[in-house]
Amino acid sequence: MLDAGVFVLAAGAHRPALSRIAEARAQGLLFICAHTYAAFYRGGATSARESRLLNQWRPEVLEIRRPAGRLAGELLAVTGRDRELDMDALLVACASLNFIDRIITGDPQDLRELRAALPRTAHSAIAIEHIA
Amino acid sequence: MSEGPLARPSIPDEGEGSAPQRAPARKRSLTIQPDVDAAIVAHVGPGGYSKFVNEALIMALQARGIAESIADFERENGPLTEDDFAIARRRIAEADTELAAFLASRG
Repeated sequence: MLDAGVFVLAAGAHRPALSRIAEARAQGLLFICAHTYAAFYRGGATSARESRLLNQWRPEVLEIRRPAGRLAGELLAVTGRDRELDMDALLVACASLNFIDRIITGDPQDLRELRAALPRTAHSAIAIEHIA
Repeated sequence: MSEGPLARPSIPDEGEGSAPQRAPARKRSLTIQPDVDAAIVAHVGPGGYSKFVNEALIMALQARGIAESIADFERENGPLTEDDFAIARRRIAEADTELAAFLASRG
């Protein structure tokens, strides 16, 4: 699963981001969470590089439903970070509920804190990989 | 350390998760080599055939798109090098190591 930071870095011609995405080919499906899609989708033709990458990579978009919203809220409560990390909490909740095994991100620390807050019954075997 | 997949190589089923929502599927008539057909059936069973093929096609489209974006990048910035890929593989290994430590700490 890719977070928004990966698109920002790749759009900025960040060499490690592009080489990591190149490595990802044939390793499994690319996923993003719906809020990441919202961050970059701008309809049809657009000159924004992030939007172009979104169209090229065609990641599968995981929807955010009530269970993900609830789990994200619980993660915020456990970490005491309130709404400061709400997008990151949705990402971790979405990954956990969909048994995603890897998140690639430009900023791993907050995601690791949220992963540690997952209930013991939840899927938490999620590698959080720093792309920068 | 293995280079694990980017995500589990399967579209989540409907349920607690949030499987991608799609328009109704279209039927297509395909011809498939017999040995490939047999291997797919042996791997996923007759009930999982369409899902397997769909995922393979999505992965192929993603790989093509990634190749296109890499080509765009390399036109402007020069080719990705073996050093670049070595850094990427190191990041993968570091994340795997960190995950193992996290899971061990959770008991």
